[in-house]
Amino acid sequence: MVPIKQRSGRRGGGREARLALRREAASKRPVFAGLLGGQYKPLAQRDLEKIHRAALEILHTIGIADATEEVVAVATRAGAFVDDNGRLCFPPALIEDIVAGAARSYTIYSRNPKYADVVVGGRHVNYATSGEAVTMLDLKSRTFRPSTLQDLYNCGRLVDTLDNIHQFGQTVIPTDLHDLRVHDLNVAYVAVTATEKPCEMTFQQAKNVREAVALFDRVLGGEGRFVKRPFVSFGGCPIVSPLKFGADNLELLVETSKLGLVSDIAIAPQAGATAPAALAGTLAQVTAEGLACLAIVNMIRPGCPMTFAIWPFVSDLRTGAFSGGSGEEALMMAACAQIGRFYDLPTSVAASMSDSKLPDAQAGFEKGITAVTAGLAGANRVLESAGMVGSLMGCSLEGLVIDNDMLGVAQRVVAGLEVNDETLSLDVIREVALGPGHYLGHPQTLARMETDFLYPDLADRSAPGVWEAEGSPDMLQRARERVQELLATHYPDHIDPKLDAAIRARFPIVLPREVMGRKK
Amino acid sequence: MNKKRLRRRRGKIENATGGKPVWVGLVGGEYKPLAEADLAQIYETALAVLAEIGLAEPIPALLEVVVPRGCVLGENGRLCFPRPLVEAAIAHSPKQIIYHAPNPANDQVLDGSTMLFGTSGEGVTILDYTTRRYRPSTLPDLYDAGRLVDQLEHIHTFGQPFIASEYSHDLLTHDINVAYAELAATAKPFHMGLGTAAHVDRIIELFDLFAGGEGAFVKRPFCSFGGCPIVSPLTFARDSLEVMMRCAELGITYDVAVAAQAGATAPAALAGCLVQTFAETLACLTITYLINPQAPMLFGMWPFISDLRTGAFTGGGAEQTLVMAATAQLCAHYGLVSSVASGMTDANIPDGQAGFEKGISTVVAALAGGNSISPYPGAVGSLMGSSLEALLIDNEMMGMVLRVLRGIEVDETTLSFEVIRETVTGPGHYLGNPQTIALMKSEFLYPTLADRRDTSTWEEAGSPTIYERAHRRVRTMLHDYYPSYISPELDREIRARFDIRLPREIMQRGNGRW
Repeated sequence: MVPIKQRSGRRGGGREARLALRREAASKRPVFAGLLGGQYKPLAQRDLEKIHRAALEILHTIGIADATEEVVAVATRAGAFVDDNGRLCFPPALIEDIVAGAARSYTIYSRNPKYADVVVGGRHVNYATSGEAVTMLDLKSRTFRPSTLQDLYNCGRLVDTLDNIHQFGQTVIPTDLHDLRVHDLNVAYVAVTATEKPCEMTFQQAKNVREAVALFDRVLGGEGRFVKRPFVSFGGCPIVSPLKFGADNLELLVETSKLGLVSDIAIAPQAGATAPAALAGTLAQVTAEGLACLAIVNMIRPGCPMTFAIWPFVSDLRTGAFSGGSGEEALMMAACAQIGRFYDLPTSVAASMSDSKLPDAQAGFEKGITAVTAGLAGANRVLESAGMVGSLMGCSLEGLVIDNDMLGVAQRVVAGLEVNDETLSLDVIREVALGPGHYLGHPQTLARMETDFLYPDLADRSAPGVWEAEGSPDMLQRARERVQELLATHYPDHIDPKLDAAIRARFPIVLPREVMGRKK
Repeated sequence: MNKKRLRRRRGKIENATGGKPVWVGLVGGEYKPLAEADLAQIYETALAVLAEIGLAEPIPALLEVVVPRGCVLGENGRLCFPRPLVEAAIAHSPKQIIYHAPNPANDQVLDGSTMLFGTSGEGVTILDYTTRRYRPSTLPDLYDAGRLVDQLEHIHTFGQPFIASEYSHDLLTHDINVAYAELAATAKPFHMGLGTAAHVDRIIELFDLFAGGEGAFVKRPFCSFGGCPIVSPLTFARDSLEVMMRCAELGITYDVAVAAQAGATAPAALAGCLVQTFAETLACLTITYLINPQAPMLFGMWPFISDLRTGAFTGGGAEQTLVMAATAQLCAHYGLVSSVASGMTDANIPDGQAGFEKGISTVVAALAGGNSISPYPGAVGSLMGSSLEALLIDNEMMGMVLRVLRGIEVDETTLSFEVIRETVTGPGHYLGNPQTIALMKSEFLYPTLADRRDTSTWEEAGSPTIYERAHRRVRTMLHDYYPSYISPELDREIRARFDIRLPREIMQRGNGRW
């Protein structure tokens, strides 16, 4: 294992070395970031085309309300128009041109070659945390309490150790920070100190983006470096469904695009509440909303990457509550990944959003089903994929480590089967059937042991008798022990003390050094 | 394509009549783990294995039937199957298998355009909720599991989840009592494992009493027998082979499960494991065809995975999910009505691990187009044991999978353009929209055990896990529900003629067990 200490600034060998390392890592484990999905196609081609046409018609004849003056000015110059109701409408040809000229992929870089860059586009599949919940599950009392900056940092350093999570996105909101600038900059600080994996965060205020970028530049060792190798993606939800812009996040979208950064947005209408109850209707609406955002980004800066993140949420129509763990949700997110492939745009979807309040069997099957279908449908980034419980209301540290195992299984399924003369094994079968009668010590068995099979980290494979002798622990108990052990021992050292002091001198960092395993 | 259209039509009919969010008659195929060229390569290699390597230890009764028809007994004693014979068997394999039920209203038709969920397993232990320890499974446990399955919406057939271990020393008593307990507990099509050909006719005698006379059962066989006529790699297992041959003679469905273990009794290369199990199962199909071209055999090629560090069977890993999905696709491609396994978790208790292992493997098997899927509801501990609580939890999981399987209907109406226009220019939300109200029950599936409460309501309820909730539900369901599918007169007759060990007292309310 490579010690975690390797510093990011040093890039001897650069890209080549990184690729070599990745190849080496990939050649050993059967799963890795950027596996190819797309084997599952929930929608027929003609259904995709119908949804596309419906979205174009929505954009042309219904339009989007509440565009800001700046956006109206840019959009009308490009060929959009404002209708009698004051809604911004987009002619189909304009949208078709926008899609044709849009960025096909982007990369969120890792700060250490030991972790893969997250390549977003094509059929690549990556799994990430995110969720911005406001509470943490306290396992002992089985209750939820408000989440803090330290919780976010703890999530980050756990993710730092979890192989099957490729990007650390913001799991919780530090509810203990009330000043929005302090909030945004401290989340940015956690992103750089807790892990060297690619990150994702959410800004409360668009005006803090430039300052956060300055912090990231400082970490990379010079002004202008972050834009060249962004290791954090961010964005908001520029749409208030149905078919309205939200001013704050629209501003963030514009600001990010001006800087030439990826707009990592998410559009999340709720079927039956802010989108039609008919699932196809929700897909048509959310596709229109996503294309509208894509249009704005590309009007501001042609070719600037945007995540085509259409995230239709399902509500339980008996109560109106969001239900992320439903079969409808699994289906909708898989369909959205496929719609993204239809346009050949970089996508993200949300999966693993269980409605269970704690990591039990319900959380297990809801997460497993949604996570594997999203990956198989070819979602480039599967967000919310670890740690979230209670319909995104809370985060569980134990859930993070359990979901890491779950994501390993999902990824191994996405990785698929290798069929060629060697793996078809006709000669091996002949040799064994006519010889020893079993394959146990066969050279093929030994050779395939590490490359074709994934061994779980926490999942139990012991015989019932052995398990009983250990006190019949369930996954949650094992996870609790693992979390305690990791949090007591894993204090990442990604930022050296001098750089840390410089950052703390310039930015209002409030995460105490002690919780980072350092002296005061 | 044809299959899809059929499914849609079926769906529309069902929807028009039932208006339910999920129904029997859904099938997958949207997920294709293998490319067409891969399928062809696996097929060709399997046929080469059958023609060139063959199977060891064929029994004389088998040779008598198959050698005159063209099978070749090699000098090394292995029975080889020439390609044309195998291809004829595939071409003639039944495209439709009817799962009759004791109550004809519950009959299920299994073909390329349907998927059914059933239990299965023949485990040997039960996980006790309170002590968290496993104990040997018994006949009353089997009866209880049957009563639960009878009440669970998403389990369509009842296969024997575990054995009655107190009779494992006396197989005839065991088999007769399994047959009786299943018949007494459920009106759904059911299934039992059988390892002795001589017992087939004796059990049919019992079923004939229920069905209304000698020969009645074979006309509407509401129970299918199953087993594993192969000891991998490529060797016949005498006892089960005889059962399979007897079922073929009688023309009743035989549920074969060929379960070679990758890395132990099949190649560690997963494609090779598929090749070998495909060849082994095709051997069973060819034999059945040669005995009786009309006899239905459910094509159960079940490549199993072992953890190569220990050699132990591991059913919960991703590799298991993948090879099973591949078998579903392979069978659909070659027109074989498939039996597919999923849900074989390695977790020893229904926890988060059991949840994701079962969920992932089941949704993938279904989307790959499996026909008769056993998601092993209730099974834990790599098929060693069962949990009644898990049966209920898994029913919930299967409902979710069915909803995924149904897919999204895209047409002018569902695309909702006018509804969107109305809403956007009107109230700004869809909450009271007539479409929302109309689709509330038909577009969305509501769980009955999975929790969707908000966090504080859940905390006030004592923060229960699904396992805890399932336990309470199991107790209620078993306390209240005692079906009377066997009339008292018939029961007296059965008990007079067969050695029935399930006491009458535990088959009615107030027996103190629950």
